[in-house]
Amino acid sequence: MARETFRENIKALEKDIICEGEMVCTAISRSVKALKDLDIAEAQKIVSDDIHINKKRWEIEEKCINLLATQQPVATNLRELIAVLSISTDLERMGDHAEGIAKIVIMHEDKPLVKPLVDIPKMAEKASDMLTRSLEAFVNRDEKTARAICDEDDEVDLLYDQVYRELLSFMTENPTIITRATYLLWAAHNLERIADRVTNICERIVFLVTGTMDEIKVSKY
Amino acid sequence: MNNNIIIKNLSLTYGNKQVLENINQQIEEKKITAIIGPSGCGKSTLLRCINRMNDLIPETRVEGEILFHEKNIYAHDIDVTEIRRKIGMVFQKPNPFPKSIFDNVAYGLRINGTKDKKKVSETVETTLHDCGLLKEVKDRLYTSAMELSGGQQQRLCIARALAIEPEIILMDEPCSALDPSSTFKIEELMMKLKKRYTVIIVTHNMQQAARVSDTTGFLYLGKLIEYGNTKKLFIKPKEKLTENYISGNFG
Repeated sequence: MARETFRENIKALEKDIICEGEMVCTAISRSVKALKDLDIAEAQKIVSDDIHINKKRWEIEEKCINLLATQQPVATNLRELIAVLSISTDLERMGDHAEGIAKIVIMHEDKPLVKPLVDIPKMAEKASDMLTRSLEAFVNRDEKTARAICDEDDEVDLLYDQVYRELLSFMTENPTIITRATYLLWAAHNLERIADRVTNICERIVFLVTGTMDEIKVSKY
Repeated sequence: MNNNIIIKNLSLTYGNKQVLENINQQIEEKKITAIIGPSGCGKSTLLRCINRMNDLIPETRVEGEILFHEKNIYAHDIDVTEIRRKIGMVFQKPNPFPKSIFDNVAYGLRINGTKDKKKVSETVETTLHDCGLLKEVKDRLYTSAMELSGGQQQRLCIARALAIEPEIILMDEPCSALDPSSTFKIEELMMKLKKRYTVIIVTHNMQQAARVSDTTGFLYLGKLIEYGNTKKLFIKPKEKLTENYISGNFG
């Protein structure tokens, strides 16, 4: 087959995306664990490690720009590069959300959590699972799975609603914890946004397979 | 959609060799239509059918119809010279006449009976201006066209084709012999021309088709495999064969 080098370059970019995705999944689970344990030292490390995700994104973007400039991709190849560029940006932003959770840990200073975490780890687990499967769908060009994952965003939204209601009732009962309860609300919001960004990835997969750009899932928030 | 060329069930054979097979295509007015495809697929032959240039090749048999303003250009009562006047052609290699720049552009007008010198002079000037050549040659209109660069010669050939006010311009790989700068000048010219003319271009350069055309047809082994909006064809072609060709997997 002609253009083998070009095909290899695109395959390498797929691997880069998987790598960036794994980095993001790790950042999410580390940040939620740090929140659960209120581990400030780990949180500081998570904040400083975010640069690696950012660098990965720039590396991917540079490779895409080089291929766009030199290879004049069209049709599937063009859609692949556009999808990679877009997915890489969404992943990088997810990394920022994980970093945001770590910063919330640091903001707690020496104060305890207002309540033990139950739904926030569930949100993190669900969002990470959606992310991992969306990247598998990307590699497999699996439009059906991508669309199905988008629907799962509702589960994360429901958990977020639950966290919101619960924290609101806590704040009403005890106004002295409003600041820390708001921190937890921000953490949950970061996770809700991560799941939303997974739906962006899924929309890119649909574009990659069908050539149609469409908002599959409109965010509730 | 206004179509001033409608190709219906067009097939062409050279002797025993079938070069075009049952082509059906509607060419939109005042748009650029690109025809792409690998070497030998019949794209230049198809283009040459549109102003009956293939008539000049022995043992050519054409079946089907090409309607120009709803009249079949292959009908017996058609004036072929008139067809070629209305449907001009620019070739791969610039082919100016060994005459002055002025005479090259004036040639078509004169053989078509325009005797008014002022009118000839005005038309030459306007046409050279429209082709972006006037500034470059205004001080040497009466020097030989052969002294121009390749890109200038090709623009002169376009000016020559435009001087007799055709409706359609056929371009057979007009930039294949030109450097990138001259190529972009011709492409810019094409974009300007489509405001007044229908342009049909055959090109080996897929990026050129993607850059300039509104509609693209992919021809393979004499068959029109896919024909439609250029952006759609280059982003999500309907046919696998088109995808493979434009992605450089064969051809």
